[in-house]
Amino acid sequence: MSVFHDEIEIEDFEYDEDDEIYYYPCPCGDRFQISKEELLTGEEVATCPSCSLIVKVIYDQEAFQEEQNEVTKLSEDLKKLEVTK
Amino acid sequence: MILYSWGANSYGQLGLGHKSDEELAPKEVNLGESELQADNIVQVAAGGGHTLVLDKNGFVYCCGWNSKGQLGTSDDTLKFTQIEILKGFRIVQISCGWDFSAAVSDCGKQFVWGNNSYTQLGLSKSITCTGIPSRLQVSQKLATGFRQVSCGLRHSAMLTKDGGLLVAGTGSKGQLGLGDNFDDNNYLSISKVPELEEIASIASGQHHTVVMKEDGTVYSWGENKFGQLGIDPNISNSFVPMEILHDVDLASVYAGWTHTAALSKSGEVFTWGRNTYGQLGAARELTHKPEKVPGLRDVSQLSVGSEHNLAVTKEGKLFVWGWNEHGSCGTGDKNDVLKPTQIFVDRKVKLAFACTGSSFAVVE
Repeated sequence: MSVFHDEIEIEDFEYDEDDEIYYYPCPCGDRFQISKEELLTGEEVATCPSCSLIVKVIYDQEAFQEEQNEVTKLSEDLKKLEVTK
Repeated sequence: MILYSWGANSYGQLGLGHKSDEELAPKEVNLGESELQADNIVQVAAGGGHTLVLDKNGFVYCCGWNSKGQLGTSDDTLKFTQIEILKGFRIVQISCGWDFSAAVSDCGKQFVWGNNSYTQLGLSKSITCTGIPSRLQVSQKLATGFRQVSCGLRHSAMLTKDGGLLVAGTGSKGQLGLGDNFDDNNYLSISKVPELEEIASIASGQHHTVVMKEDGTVYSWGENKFGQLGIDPNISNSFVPMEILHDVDLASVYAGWTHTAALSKSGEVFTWGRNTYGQLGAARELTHKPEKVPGLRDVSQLSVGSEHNLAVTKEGKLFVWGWNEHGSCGTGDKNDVLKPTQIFVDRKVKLAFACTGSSFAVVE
């Protein structure tokens, strides 16, 4: 069992839409990261690629999944609309 | 004089001309063709992946990560390169946040560049980032000029000419000290902290801010998860300045990411806050209480990095302590340094700077 360096709320992460990854600054200068996919599966540990520190991501898995479902649905609807146009 | 750098180097922030996971032992920085000379260096500041160096001519040099324009030059660079646009001004002080930068000129102008997505530069919300050092213009009511700036992770504190304090950036953890009745979305990008006057020293941590008045009274606010405000961590945040310490002998205050320090006029160092990696320089029962670091005296210059610290004594000895996973303490290994330990033994150190996992020293 590793010790968390910190516990960080998902709102404090910066989201990169292209990579679909959430980032948060690590004191080593690199960034803790966790992908949207990992969060959807319930993963809550964000790791830093440069060091051993890890942080626990504070988020509500159910709410997160719902939110993502909505986003997916909306973008699908949008695509359908574009097709019909 | 020689400039040395060591520690984290993922973005080439050490100015060595290459990127690497880390440099465990101090490396000589080859200043090559740049006009920067080690003898002339007066200050080094660094963010997550970029570094700024200020020389006595008032010129600023940069290297490292440029994702948000934090270098102030159009190109990325792995070697110290002068910021051309600031050449016309005599810069006297610099500071770096995570991915943004600030500089104050001798005539009290302040320049800011890099990420502004939290309005941490004090610029309008419509500007998400800028790679061009821009003059920060505020109403005469807020400030007639600037004296000092200190950037935290996502906020900035600015000491004005008349001894007041302006703050910019996110206040979600209370780090702006403006009270808890505001939302980042509906307040101005730059504000004055009420009722704080005669301020002499300022420092911004990850999510906290600490200032010292001319009479040696220390105030802090923001996140207190680790006791970094100097009060019991049962209180997780303070959204307003709190008086935590008064000592007429204090000279200045400093902030790591989650720990805080003060230097006295007689050269003693006081620390409080997080101590999981030896940040406080001694084992402590109550880490939130400001206490003297034993075994350190005659400190003439102190520098506090994200989770490590460097102190230079009057005799030119350099002491290091704190988190050392990337060799940021310069001991040549990765073991955390739990109490002040001398490096560059037998050498005379003029200045030393602890940054975000990295360090710099000017050595004779």
